[in-house]
Formats: sequence, structure tokens, C-alpha cells
Amino acid sequence: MKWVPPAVAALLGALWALASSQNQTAPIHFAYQPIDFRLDSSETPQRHAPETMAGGVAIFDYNNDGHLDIFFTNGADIRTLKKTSPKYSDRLFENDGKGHFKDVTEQAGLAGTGFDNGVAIGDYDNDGYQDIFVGGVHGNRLYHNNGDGTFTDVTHKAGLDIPDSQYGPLWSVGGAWVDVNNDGLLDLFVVNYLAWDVNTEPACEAAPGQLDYCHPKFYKATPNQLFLNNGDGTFRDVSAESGIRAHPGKGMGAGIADYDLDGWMDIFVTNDKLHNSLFHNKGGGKFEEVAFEAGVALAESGQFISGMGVDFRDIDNDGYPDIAFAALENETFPLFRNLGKGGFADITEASGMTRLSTPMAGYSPTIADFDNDGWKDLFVTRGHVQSLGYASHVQVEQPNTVFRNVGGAKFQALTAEAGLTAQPPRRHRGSAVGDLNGDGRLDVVVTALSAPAEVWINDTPAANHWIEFQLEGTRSNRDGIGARIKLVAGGAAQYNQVSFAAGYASSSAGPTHFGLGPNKSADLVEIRWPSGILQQLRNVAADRVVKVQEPRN
Amino acid sequence: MRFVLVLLAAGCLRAATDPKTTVESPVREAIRLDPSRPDAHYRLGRLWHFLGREKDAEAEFAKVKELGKEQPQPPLIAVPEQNGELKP
Repeated sequence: MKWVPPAVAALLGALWALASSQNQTAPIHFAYQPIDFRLDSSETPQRHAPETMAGGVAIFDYNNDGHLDIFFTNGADIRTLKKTSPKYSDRLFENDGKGHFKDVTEQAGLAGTGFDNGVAIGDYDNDGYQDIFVGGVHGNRLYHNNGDGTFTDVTHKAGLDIPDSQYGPLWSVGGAWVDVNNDGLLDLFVVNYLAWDVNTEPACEAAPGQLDYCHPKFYKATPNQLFLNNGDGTFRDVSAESGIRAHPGKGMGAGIADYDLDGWMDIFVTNDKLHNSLFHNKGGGKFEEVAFEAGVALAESGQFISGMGVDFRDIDNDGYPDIAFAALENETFPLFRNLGKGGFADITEASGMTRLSTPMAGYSPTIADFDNDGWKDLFVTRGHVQSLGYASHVQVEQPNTVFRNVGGAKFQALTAEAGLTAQPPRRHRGSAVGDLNGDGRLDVVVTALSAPAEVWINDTPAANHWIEFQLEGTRSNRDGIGARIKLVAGGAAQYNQVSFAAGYASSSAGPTHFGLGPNKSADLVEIRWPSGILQQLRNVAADRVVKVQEPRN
Repeated sequence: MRFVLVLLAAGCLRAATDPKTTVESPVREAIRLDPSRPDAHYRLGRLWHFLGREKDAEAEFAKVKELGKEQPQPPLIAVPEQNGELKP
């Protein structure tokens, strides 16, 4: 490559970034905003597996001031799994509502102690303040939100620190809060990756003398876990009796949705180079694994692919939650359409995603309507699992991409057009979605290995209307997780459910968002609460957050 | 092995979106030639499931799960650290 003077290179880079950020004609567009967080996973030349898997992020309102805040998980020293330096601190940033974020980690008590990987937000004690579950390598944490800006580590009291008697310490990449038995209390599903020990893990060479991260086949599978909420601040491990434990895997993500609309929340888990799992809730928190029968065990190739993060919501507005997940290059970002009879069809090819995503490697997919046109789009953080030393073989660092739903689950890919090349390609990992500046357009926060986090402020031309619903359960869990919302506007219906589990290792816990296109109101809003209560609202004005409390009777 | 791919392609033209369209004979032949392909077992299992032959379906799905435990060697080369083959 011809040498270019640094000053010229910098100028060209700035012009390139400016050009991409100024492209306001794209149907979806984001502007980059920095935030003072750098993900440090303790990368070493030995290439220990957790180093490449870090990077969860959550968007939620920790102090109930109406502004969405940001929480990042962070790594630790890879040999000791201890946060031996402030550079490994987890971080909480408070949003002032104007796009400014203040680091409040210390006062909140959320710096953490171990190698933290994923995060799940949920108000497990129904006190009106959202709590934090942090999944990590050989140790998880549950932080109770005290309601005064501080959190208390209640892991031990909750019973979430008991090592697995068969598998030993587990490596959790994240989790999902979900009320599996509809008792009004959020239960905790923990996604576990694989069996790992720094002293015994295999070493793998990309070339003689050059180590790189090993293929998952060299590690043993581990079971996911389900903890039932006792309602007194403690949890009971029901992994075995619920049927979850009988299906070990190499879990990378969990999406929750009632896919067969039977009133019980189901769980889809992506596995790395293994078949996926679909845990169908038979009622009362008893599950059967039906991925093969339902047609979601393997993607269209029929091969074992690198299942990464996942999102599980209705993407074609037919009322049935669909499944999107990310994988590596030549594996596509698969899309399963829910056929409504307990089965799914692989529509990766038909949706255009095969052609668009085959060259890409991704981690965190989130389904949301970024242009408020009434069709949910798909934002995918991109980057390869291998180290930078493998860059001569694959494209390790990549830009993020938003796949715009042009209607009925047909997609176009927007990368530079969407402003997402305003930052250099990186090894992006987790992502969370929420309206950070209250302008009705969904923003995205993305993490990247050994790089600054990225806040992508949605500056799509604001022609379309929107509405968000902040649910408050009374008989159901307070967050309303599992509530199914049907919205009719301009004669068209669309659907979403309250679920904070989305993407890779991350949590998007803002209000449930709908784009309304040209409609200034929703004609009908129908909320089916987990309790079974059906609530209807009519002629609801747009462009605002609507707080809805569940009827008590 | 290209012949196996041709057989699978012939038997599974629209299998991803409609398992009922899977044609049994070429997929069976593909499995006979290369029993280590999860895609072939998966397609056949899905066909049996749609035809209500659940025991046959479960048998094919079980083979897929078994294959998940032993994957083909990737481009990377494993070097057991404990054997001292690892360069510092």
C-alpha cells in the first residue's frame, strides 16, 4: 500500500466521515455521539475465549426521571477474573434528557467485581425501580435498585451464587427476565455459554506461532438456568424440573415471546455452532424443547452456524412473533417467520437477508421501527469473533448495519447511507435501543472490543409519527414483561410485546415503541396482560409516551 | 462430495420454507454417501415430522444432535497447552 502522510490521511478520514454523516437523504440515519466508556476485555496474546465475548449494554431509566440511562458491563483480568484496575469497571451513565451522560457508577455502587459479560434489566420485586442482573464468567450479580440512586448487591441473599454441582462455575453471557408462570413475579432465565477454564482451555493457532480464539467445538456445552422468583427477594433454581437443564448448549442469546399465543411466555436460545433451542412453555413454567419440530433448530443451510444474539418479535405485522439472529460471514443473519401454527419458515432468502448479510459477521440484532413507518427494522452490530491478528483471513472489524424493512419483511441494508461509517469499523458486540433524547426516534448504544462505545442518535427525517407505551402491571409483573400490544392506526394493525431481552448480552428496557407513519393517532390499542386481562384504549394521540396501568379487576 | 451437494440441492429445493417439498430419495442417498451432514438429517427429519412420522423424525433429529458434538476440523489448529507445544 502506498504511504500517505498522516495529516493527509486524517483529512481524508474526516472528509469521509463528514460525507457519510451528512447523507440525510437515507430513509434511516444516525449521527454518532461519543460516550466516555471503553470496553476492556483484557485481551492477551493467549486469546482466552471470554476476551472476545464481552460487551453487554443496557438502556433503562434507573432513577425514574423519564430519561433513559445507560449501563455497560466490562471485563476483568482474564487470569484472576477480578477487576484489578478501574479500567475494568462496569459503568452507569445518567441521562439529563438532553443527550448528556454523567458517570454515576461509584455513587450507584455498580462498578462490579468480576468479568462481567451480559446484562438483563427487570423490576423483580415490583417496587417500581428496575433492577440489574449481570451475567459473567464464573459469577453472576443481582443488584437491587434502592430507589435513591444506589444499588445493593443481593446476589447471595437471592440465592444466585450457588455453583453448579455437575458443571462447576458457569459462564453466563446474559439473561432475560420473564414471568414463566404468570404469578406476577419476574423469573430469571440465564443464558450460559460453554465450559471454560483459563488453565485447561485449548490453545488454537491461526498460523504457526499465532494464537487465535478456538472453535466452540473444543469446549463442552453447558445448560441454561431458570430461577423462579419466590416473591421474597429469593429465587429457586428450577432448571431441572422445568425441563431447561436437559438441553445443554453453547448459549449466546435468549429471546422471549409467546410465539403460539397460548398465554405462556416461551424462550428461544441461539447456540454457537450448535442447533438452537426453542423452549415451549407448556404452562406453569414447564418447558418442552421443540426447535426441530418448529423448524428453528437450524438455518436455511441446515448447517451448525455461529448463532449470536437474537430478537424475537413480530416483524411482518401478522401478530405472531418472528425470530431474527446474527451469525458470522457465509452463515447469513437468519430470519424465521412465525406461521402461527406452532411452526416457522426460514425466510432469510425470501426477505433478501441472504444476499445482504452473507458477507457480514454480526453479534447483536435488535428489531425496532427506526423510521417510524409502521414496519420494524433490524439493527445489527457487526464484527468478527476472531482477533485482529486474523484480519488477513476475514474482515474482523466491520461497521454496523441497519436493515430497513420496506414492508412485509423485505429488507434493504443501510450502512454508510445510514451514517454508520462515521466511526471506523470495529469488533462491535452488544447493543441496546431506546429513545435517549425524547424526540420519538429510537437511538442505539453499541459496544466494541478494546474501543470506545458508540451512541448512535437517530436523526432520520422526522416526518412520521410515533407512540410509546410505558406499562405498569398491577396483577401482572410491574414491568409488564410479556404483555402483548396490538395497535391499529390508519386501518393497519401492528404488534409488539413488552420484552427487554434483545440482541447480544444486552437489554433494551425503554417503553414499547410503535411507528405510526402519517397517522396522528392510534385508533385502537389493545393490551393483553400476562394476567389475562384485556385492556383497550381508543383514539390515542401520537408523539408521546403513554403510561398505562393494568386494571386491578 | 460435490455429488452429495447436488443430491441435497435436488432433494431440498424449497425445504427451508416448506419441508413438505423435500424429496426423500436423493436426501437418503446423500446421507448414505456422507452420513456426517447435519443438513441432510435435518431435512429428512423435518419431512417425517410433517408427514406425522414422529419416531422417524426424532431419529433423524437425534443424529443431528449427535453430530453437533463432533464437528469437522475448522481452519484453526488446536494445540494442547498442557503438551508444551504452545509458543510463549
